[in-house]
Amino acid sequence: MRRGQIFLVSAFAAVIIVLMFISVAMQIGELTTIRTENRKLIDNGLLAIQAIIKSGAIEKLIEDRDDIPIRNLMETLLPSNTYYSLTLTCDSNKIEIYNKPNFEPKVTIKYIYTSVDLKTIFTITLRLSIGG
Amino acid sequence: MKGQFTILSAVTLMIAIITISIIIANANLRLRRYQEYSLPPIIINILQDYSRMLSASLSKATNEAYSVIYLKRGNINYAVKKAEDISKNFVDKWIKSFIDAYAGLGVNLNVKVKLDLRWSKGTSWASILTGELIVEIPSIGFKLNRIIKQTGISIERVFISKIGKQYYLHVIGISLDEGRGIPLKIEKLIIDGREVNFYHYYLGGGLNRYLIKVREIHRYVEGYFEYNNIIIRVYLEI
Repeated sequence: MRRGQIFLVSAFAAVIIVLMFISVAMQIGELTTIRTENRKLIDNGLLAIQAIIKSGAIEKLIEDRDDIPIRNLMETLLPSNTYYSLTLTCDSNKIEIYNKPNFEPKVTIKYIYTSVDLKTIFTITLRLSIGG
Repeated sequence: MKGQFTILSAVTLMIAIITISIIIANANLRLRRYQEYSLPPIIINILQDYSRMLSASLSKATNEAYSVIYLKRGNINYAVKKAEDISKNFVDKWIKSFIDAYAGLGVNLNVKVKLDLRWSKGTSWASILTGELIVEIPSIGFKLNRIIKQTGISIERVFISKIGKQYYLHVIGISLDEGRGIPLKIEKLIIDGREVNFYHYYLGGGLNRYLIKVREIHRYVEGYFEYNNIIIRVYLEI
């Protein structure tokens, strides 16, 4: 092998190594993007749950079977392209409120809520995903 | 030709290094933003629901004590014991709900509660629940040693005055959670063994005045007051 050929091969090897580094760095970047997006969904979901609790919408749902306050809050507080499914569980009773049936959730938030008025402990499960 | 290769390699390397720097800087920035809000939802949930759980537990306990003493005519010690059981069972149910909901995290949650029902005769009365919370979640390296919280209501002073032929009962109620005087609704008012009617006037600052529909008071006043579903009993001997 001539000296020039060795130089050429080394240059190609260097370029390949650099490209590998770039692809790894891009993957790390994508991973953090997904984590950040999910974190935003979790934060929005938690805010929505807290708003629902403070408004007394859960008590209204249990006492009057009225799910409109919860739907209104979810649609106001979550970004418009968000799919949600909120399940309220107490002992063996379950109530589900959603804006799209059977979607694949990106994040699932569980939240324990104790209603002082109803003297009952609820498990709130909120599944969220970003729609098209 | 050799010089051209050197220049080409140098330029390629330079572009690659700049690209990598931009990507890594961007990733770091996102990672930092992600870490800014990295308090896990379970911690937020426990801290937010702890006070509500104590209030609900006290509400259940005092309603049980009221039911035992007034409705079933049981004695006060038995009522307090029943109330303590109700309160502890509710706390256990709360802990179980967290352990079930966050099963994958290995949550170690411990809550000790102490119920203080001062419902007998005396100069001050109280329905107070003190909770001590300890949280440990080894999987995320979180440990919270002790959060002590008190919830409930107290009655600092009760007195009866007679203006003309009318009797007035004065009660000063205080909420521990809100740290201020509160209006107290009467569930039942018994004077000398008979349930009586009344009119309630809230004068502000925790001072409640009740016009009692009674001709004479000879022996005692027994009142069951309520605020935010928490009941307190007052027993005053004349």
